[in-house]
Amino acid sequence: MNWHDQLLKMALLGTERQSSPLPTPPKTLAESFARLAGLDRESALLGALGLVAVYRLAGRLPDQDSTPRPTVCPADEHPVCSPGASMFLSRILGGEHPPLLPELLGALDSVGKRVPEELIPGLLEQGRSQSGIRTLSGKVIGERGKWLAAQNPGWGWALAAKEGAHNEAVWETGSREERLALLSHLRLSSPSRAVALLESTWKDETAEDRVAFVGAIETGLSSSDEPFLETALDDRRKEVRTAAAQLLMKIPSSSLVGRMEARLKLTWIEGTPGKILQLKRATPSHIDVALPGDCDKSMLRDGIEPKPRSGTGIGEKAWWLEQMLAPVPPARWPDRWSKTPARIVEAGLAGEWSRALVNGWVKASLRHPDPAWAKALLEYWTSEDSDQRRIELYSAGILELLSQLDKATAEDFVAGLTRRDRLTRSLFWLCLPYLGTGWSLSFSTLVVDQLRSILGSSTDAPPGLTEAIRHASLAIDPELASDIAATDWQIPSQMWGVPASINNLIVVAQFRRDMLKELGL
Amino acid sequence: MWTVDRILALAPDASSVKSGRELAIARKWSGLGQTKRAIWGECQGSGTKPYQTEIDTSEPAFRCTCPSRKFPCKHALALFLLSAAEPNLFSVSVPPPWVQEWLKKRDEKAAEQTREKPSREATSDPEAAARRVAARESKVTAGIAELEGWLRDVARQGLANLQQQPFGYFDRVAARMVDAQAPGLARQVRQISALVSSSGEWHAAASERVGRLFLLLQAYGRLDSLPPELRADIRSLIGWTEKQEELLEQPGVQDDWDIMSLRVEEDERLRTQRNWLLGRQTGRAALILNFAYGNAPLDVSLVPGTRIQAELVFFPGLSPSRALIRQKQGTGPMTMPAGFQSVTAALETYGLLLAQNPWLVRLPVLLSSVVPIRREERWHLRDGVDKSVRLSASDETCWRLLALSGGRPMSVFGEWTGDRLEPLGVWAEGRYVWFYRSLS
Repeated sequence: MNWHDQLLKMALLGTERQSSPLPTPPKTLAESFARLAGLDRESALLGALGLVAVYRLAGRLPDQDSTPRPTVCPADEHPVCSPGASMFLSRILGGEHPPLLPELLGALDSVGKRVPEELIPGLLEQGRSQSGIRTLSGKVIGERGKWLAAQNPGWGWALAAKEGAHNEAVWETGSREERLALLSHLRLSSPSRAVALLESTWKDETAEDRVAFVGAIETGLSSSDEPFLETALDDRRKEVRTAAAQLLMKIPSSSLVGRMEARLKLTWIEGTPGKILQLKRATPSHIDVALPGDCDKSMLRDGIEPKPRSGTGIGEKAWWLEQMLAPVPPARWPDRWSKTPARIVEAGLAGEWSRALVNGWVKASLRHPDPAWAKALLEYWTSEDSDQRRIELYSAGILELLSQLDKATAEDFVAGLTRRDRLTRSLFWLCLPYLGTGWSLSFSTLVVDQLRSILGSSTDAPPGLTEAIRHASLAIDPELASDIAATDWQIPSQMWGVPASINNLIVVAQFRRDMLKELGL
Repeated sequence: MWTVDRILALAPDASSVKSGRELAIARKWSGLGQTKRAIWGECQGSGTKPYQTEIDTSEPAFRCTCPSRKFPCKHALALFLLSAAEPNLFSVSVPPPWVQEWLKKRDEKAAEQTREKPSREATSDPEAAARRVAARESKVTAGIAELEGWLRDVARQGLANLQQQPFGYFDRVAARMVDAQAPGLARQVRQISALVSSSGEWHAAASERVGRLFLLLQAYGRLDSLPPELRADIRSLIGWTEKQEELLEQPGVQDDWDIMSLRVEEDERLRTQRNWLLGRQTGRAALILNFAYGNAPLDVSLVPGTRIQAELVFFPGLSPSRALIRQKQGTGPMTMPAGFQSVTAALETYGLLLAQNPWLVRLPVLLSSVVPIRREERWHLRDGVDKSVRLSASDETCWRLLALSGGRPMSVFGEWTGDRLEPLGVWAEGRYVWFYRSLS
């Protein structure tokens, strides 16, 4: 034990438990220690502690760092954004209006600016949990951001797939999470290599691992994954079979989709015009459906659920029809019959299986985007006069189809609702959250006018109003910010929650206007 | 010019920021107006009568008829925010009577204060003042004797014993020091208490504290034999305060001062704002303290990264020391400040200053060209000859430092506490970035 440790030990135990004298310090301290000689033991100990404390502080030397010098970040051709713009970024990262982050990042990217260095760590940290902002963030963190991300394993998402180091040995030795991370990573850069790894050990994997791994194939899915997924259809575990079937349904050229299409015996029956003199009534065009007698093994293998969920009121066969229709790209039907989607929907509605056909087409359109079908189905939805059917299709996600229309078409479609009957008009609010952001000035103006009119004329809030206002705050043209702020909003007292939404609309719109102005937009 | 972030800095707490923002919309307000000096408006609250809110922007000073005890209240913040965001809503007009009345009262009060000063001095009785000083001296001397006795008990029973003491043990000792009118000693007792109750390696740190405190008490006993500057430092550590009015009559130091940092510490209900300033010509460091009790706002005029031309009056004592701003002539942008060329040079200076004032705790230091390094999960600053010091900062701050450097040398300003450097600001690629930190 050296003199300093001895002194410390003495201080910890106290003078009453030990009688030894103060330890002998190095020569440089000896003279100062000598002056403590005349004091009582406690004072001498306290004095020595004080002297040594100052002695050590004053004599402290810096460490010698002999590790290699760090790499230097290459220069960046893009300039950093203005201090004003970075203040907005800092406020959003600090928790103010978090939904505006994508808009700000997109705006920075569009003017070719990058985020200031001191905000890069905060943005990289956000990207860890929010995968939705990764692509945009990657564009505005610049060289500095990539350089930094390479030094923190948690920020690997910011590195291009080929730059990220991956160690395939993990596949043999790693935990499930590590292996899953490797798989997901490989799917970005070399999807076939990921499948090869998976196939190499597939037989020996536990059921839980197979369930976890098959889901990772969704990233970078293509027809070359089909052979593997087709084998997975024969897996012992149901979750694996279902997952594989769901993925194959997403590949338009897969033989599973082909088998489904072959099972569908649909025939176009052209209608006939009525003949008044012969008292013959007109028959509309319709679709004739022939369905299998039972749900055979091959149908089960392709992921068809034989029994509908109870309480849906759907018959067994209608349920099979819906499921068979759902994987088939909807474009196949206009190709086969040379009819527009609108006419096909009309014909589908004319026959016995209308509900199953429309449900199947909605699911198929959600899986395989097709703007013409999306438009046709949305038109049908708004003209349907059964409330129950409207709600059923709304729950099935029919409004997601709005995102398949180009912006102007989608806005026109939703704007058109305001010129319809009272019941259909109220669908306007339900549609708004599905319209994306960056609304045109004319559409934004229409929304604000509609808002004024509904608050002025109605006592009860239509369904989805507060959610619509919340989304509008992120999507309307910020040109309108001052107009909205200056409006004298008269909100009926029964509309619970609406005053707060309007306040939020005003505050967010102003924030966005100032933020974009700062970026010169 | 009052910008949103400057206004928000006036808020007493986070919930005020939130409610202020929510109220900063036109529809909540009526009768908005402004002059060069003031802004005002009426805000509909929960009662029947709207609240009347007014701001004297020259200070700023606030007044509102709402019952809130927060200061400024959410209405005042909201009004201020609204005026920054939507200046067009505020028509330039003659203030209504309630605003005029308030402004008039403020003018009268200000005039009274300037008149009052000399009269107060004239009435003070020098003999009575001397008696008060003598009474305090004897209280402090008694307190010091008591604390010495306590320290000797600690040494006798051993520091390890401190952790077995009942709850409130240190508080009682600290309270005795407050009674003895030695608040500085009370603070040091509480610091030892905090060390003892912290987890981890507290032994060495607590023994250093106890030892240095003992040396301080010894030094007070022979104050007369010490040089005057050190005497002032010791008295200030015990808890004697300087009369600011008297201090402001001393000669000042004129310089261009770069504002290097801003930090707010909170103790009970007292908030202390610490600004470090560095003089361009004199090279002197100055610590400007601002206190606010409860919900009162802090002075927000010292913005890090800017420079002021000002005359500062330093408190007596060895450098670096606390100072007051006597007169501010102008402000401007900061340029690259000069600092220590090596880590070794900074540490040598610290050693020299310790030799003059062994109770020095924090030294403001600007290291001129250092690179942040992360080694085995620990952060360091490394200079051009590969000497390094440990950083004391959150991981988040350290990653920011690394981001700012990009692996290239930069200037880092911070407080050296004897074994680590706490970074407060960085000069990198032509601009100064500072780290705001609120300690509570």
